[in-house]
Amino acid sequence: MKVLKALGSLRFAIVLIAGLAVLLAVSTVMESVHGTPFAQKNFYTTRWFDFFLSLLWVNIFCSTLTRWPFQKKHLGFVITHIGILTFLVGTLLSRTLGSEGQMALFEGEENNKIRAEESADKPGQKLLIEGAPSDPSNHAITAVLSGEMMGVNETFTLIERDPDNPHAFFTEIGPAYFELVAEPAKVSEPKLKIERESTQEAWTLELGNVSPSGEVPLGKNGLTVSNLRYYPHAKVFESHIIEAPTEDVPFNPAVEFTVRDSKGHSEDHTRFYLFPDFDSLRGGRAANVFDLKVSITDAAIPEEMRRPVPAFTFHATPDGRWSYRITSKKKAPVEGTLEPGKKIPTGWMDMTVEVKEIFSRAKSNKSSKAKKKSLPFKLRLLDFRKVDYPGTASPASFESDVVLTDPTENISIQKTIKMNKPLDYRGWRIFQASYMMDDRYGEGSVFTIAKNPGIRLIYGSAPIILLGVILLFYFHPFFNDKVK
Amino acid sequence: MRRIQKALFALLVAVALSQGIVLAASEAAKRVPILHNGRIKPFDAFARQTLKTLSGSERWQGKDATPVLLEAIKDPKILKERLWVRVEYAELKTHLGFPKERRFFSLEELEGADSKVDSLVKSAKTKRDRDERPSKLEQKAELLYTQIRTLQNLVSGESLKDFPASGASQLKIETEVLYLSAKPFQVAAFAYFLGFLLLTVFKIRSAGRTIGIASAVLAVFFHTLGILARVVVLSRPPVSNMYESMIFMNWALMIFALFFSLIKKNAAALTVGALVSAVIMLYGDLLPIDSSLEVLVPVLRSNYWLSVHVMTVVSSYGAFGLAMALGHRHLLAIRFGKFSKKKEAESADLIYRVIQLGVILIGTGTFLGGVWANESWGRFWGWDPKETWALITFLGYLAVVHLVYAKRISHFALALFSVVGFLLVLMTWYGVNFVLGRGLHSYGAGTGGMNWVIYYLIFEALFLSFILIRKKFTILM
Repeated sequence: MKVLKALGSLRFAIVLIAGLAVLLAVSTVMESVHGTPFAQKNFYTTRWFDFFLSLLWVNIFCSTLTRWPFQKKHLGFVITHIGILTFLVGTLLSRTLGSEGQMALFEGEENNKIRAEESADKPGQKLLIEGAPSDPSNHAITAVLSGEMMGVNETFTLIERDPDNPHAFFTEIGPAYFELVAEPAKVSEPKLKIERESTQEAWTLELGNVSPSGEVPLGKNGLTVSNLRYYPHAKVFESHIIEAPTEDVPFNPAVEFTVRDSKGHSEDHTRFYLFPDFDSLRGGRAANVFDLKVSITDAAIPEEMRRPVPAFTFHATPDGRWSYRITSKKKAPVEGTLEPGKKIPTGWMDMTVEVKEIFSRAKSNKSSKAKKKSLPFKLRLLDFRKVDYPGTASPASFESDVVLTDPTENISIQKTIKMNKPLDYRGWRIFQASYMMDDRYGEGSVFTIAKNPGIRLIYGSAPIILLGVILLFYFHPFFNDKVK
Repeated sequence: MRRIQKALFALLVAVALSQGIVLAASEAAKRVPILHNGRIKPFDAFARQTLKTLSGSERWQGKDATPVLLEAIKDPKILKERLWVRVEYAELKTHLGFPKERRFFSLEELEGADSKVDSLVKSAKTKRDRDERPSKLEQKAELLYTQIRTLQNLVSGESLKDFPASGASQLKIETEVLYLSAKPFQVAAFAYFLGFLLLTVFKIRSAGRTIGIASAVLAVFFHTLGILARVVVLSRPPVSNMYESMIFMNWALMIFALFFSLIKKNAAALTVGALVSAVIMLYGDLLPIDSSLEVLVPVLRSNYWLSVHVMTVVSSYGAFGLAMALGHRHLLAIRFGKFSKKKEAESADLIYRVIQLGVILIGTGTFLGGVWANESWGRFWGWDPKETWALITFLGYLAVVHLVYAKRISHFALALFSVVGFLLVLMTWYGVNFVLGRGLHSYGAGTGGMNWVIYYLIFEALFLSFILIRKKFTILM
């Protein structure tokens, strides 16, 4: 009884409440100094934090018990504290049994694994190891980008093929783009692709060297293409497309042309490579009588234009030689051979790239990898859309069309996930967290996928607590009523 | 009321007549819609904002923004050569090779230092991308960069390409022009201050006291109109940035003050509330209507739960602010021996009631934030610094509520905590964004204001020393 009283005492409650407040204040300061992963790892997700919350539970439980047998005057108190006990149980359930992770998908991709939030890896921990000679070829590189002018010192790893992350071959640091290419890409001419879905016809036109005067027939159906113009660095000026005078628009290929049929009908089309979802019909209001779909094929874009500028490309050839190529906005590309330990000046302010390690049969070091978890279902991204505020590039909304397949239940659901409109499936919720825009892969979505088993208890506790508090605060005599 | 309205009207007419025809022409120009920063607004708003960005003031040499800007747009020479870009930070001027003594510069002069500004801005951007804070020099360079771009966009016609804009709502345009010229928050600040003065000077029932109460009520009326005007113009809940949250917190504070004054039949809450409000409104008016968050990031898109969450939390700040003001009153009255036992108990009861309300509001508001986060991100609680600090604030006040409920602390200690506890609110509301500078809620942040918070902290330290030195008091009972 004495122990029960002590555990349920107000003194203990105040110690716990104030202690929790101080602890949290300390952890937010730690987070500010050492970063979010540090605080998550050393405070919020620890077992002793669970223990602290459990102590709070015990305290409230005991203090409620000490009121036994309950009288009418205890009503508000008991209801409130039962509510808080429910809330804490829900919290502890979610903390111990819940899970949460991210899944990044480009359009057309499918996956059934989520990656846990980046854990605070100890610095210097190796992510990759060199495999045995029998292992398949898989190039990887670890390098450091540093520069005093901007105070940059960033280590990054690029992997040709990472089974868990199809996008591990590139990274972006500030405005710079880094990429690992296993074989130097072939430079080819850009092409224009015109498709007619109703008749399953398709035509391809070379864009490398077009003259706008000629008329090109499309098959034998009487359609012709004329006024064909190609702009490697398109810029919209007074609602016309012009070729940017200097390369201040480094990457924005566009094509314009007119299609005519034998009866004299005509349509004007404009296609920007970077915006394949826009209606190519000029004016937008005209009906697409010819039923044409227009695209610039990405394989045809020259290497310098295919990736953002400035870019640093690491090339690995099958015979084990490594080279690099630096493309900058206003300078000619720079090439050279790669040597570990040698600092390569990038030409971007005072920044240098130093290669730390090179792998030709890279394997991941399992022990230090971010936690991965298989889901009971697969998710495929069909289409991602970004809607901007009028007249700006600030996004107003993102949304994704997805297909969820559960092989065990033989269920397949197609739905649209929007910001604030998640998809629910058997205790899992799938949210639109972010998006990706990449030259090679196009558009993509980052989903947060979470299971939160305590959430019903948490939600359910709220009305109980509120009811209790109102009874406690407003239907109960308290301290200065005696004075009056 | 009537008389004041009549007087105001007469004043307006006089001003209008003195300005004559010039006014009529520029009045029409003010209302022409323009698309700027993703929003259609009257030209007047654009002109004021542009001028404020450039020179730090909405007027130029005593003239209104609209005619000043119209004149400049017609003559690119003015745009390029007029010395009207204000650069205050001495270190930046030295860095760019400009004389330190001069305050105003022309576009031509500044374009000469373009590359230096660019490199500072780039390095600031890199730091931001890496989740670091740029240096003060870099931040000031970013500001200057904005000023230069603003002018360059006027020269090239870029910022006028959607002028006049189509599809403008007449109601919004008229409301915004009225809001900009009537300055409801300034009127409210003045009326709050008048109300406080009258209620402090006239202690017993008198005409002065009645006018004081009327003045405070009128202030609340203008305050409400101002908030409504912003809601109409921006089509979003009135709590989307630091400035708006200050105005809204203050509004909630006054509504609670009115409420408690009515049910307690005692104008104490109204009096101290009016003083706090006058101060907050005056500070708030130093900031522009538009902020960098003029259109909301997707995560903050008008959303029912989000609005309810933010408004509930911000109104809890209002309750704690009122408790803080009442705490000062309580401590001062004790210091000067003005309290009878009965009055002291009444005052403590009032403070406790206000804190109770604050605890319910911050608890509910934080919980709703969790609901919203769970519905949109799948995470009820993520230990984001802002929510963690809201929890710390909640826990702090909760501890006091327990102690008062169990009659363990004195009236004095309660009043003392209501003052000290507000520092927790300040940390949650302001400190998390500006001191810790991390987290999801950083879109609620702006820059600056640090000086004012420091002044407040110094004031509070002096006040508490004054109360605590040479005075016997009991904390625990």
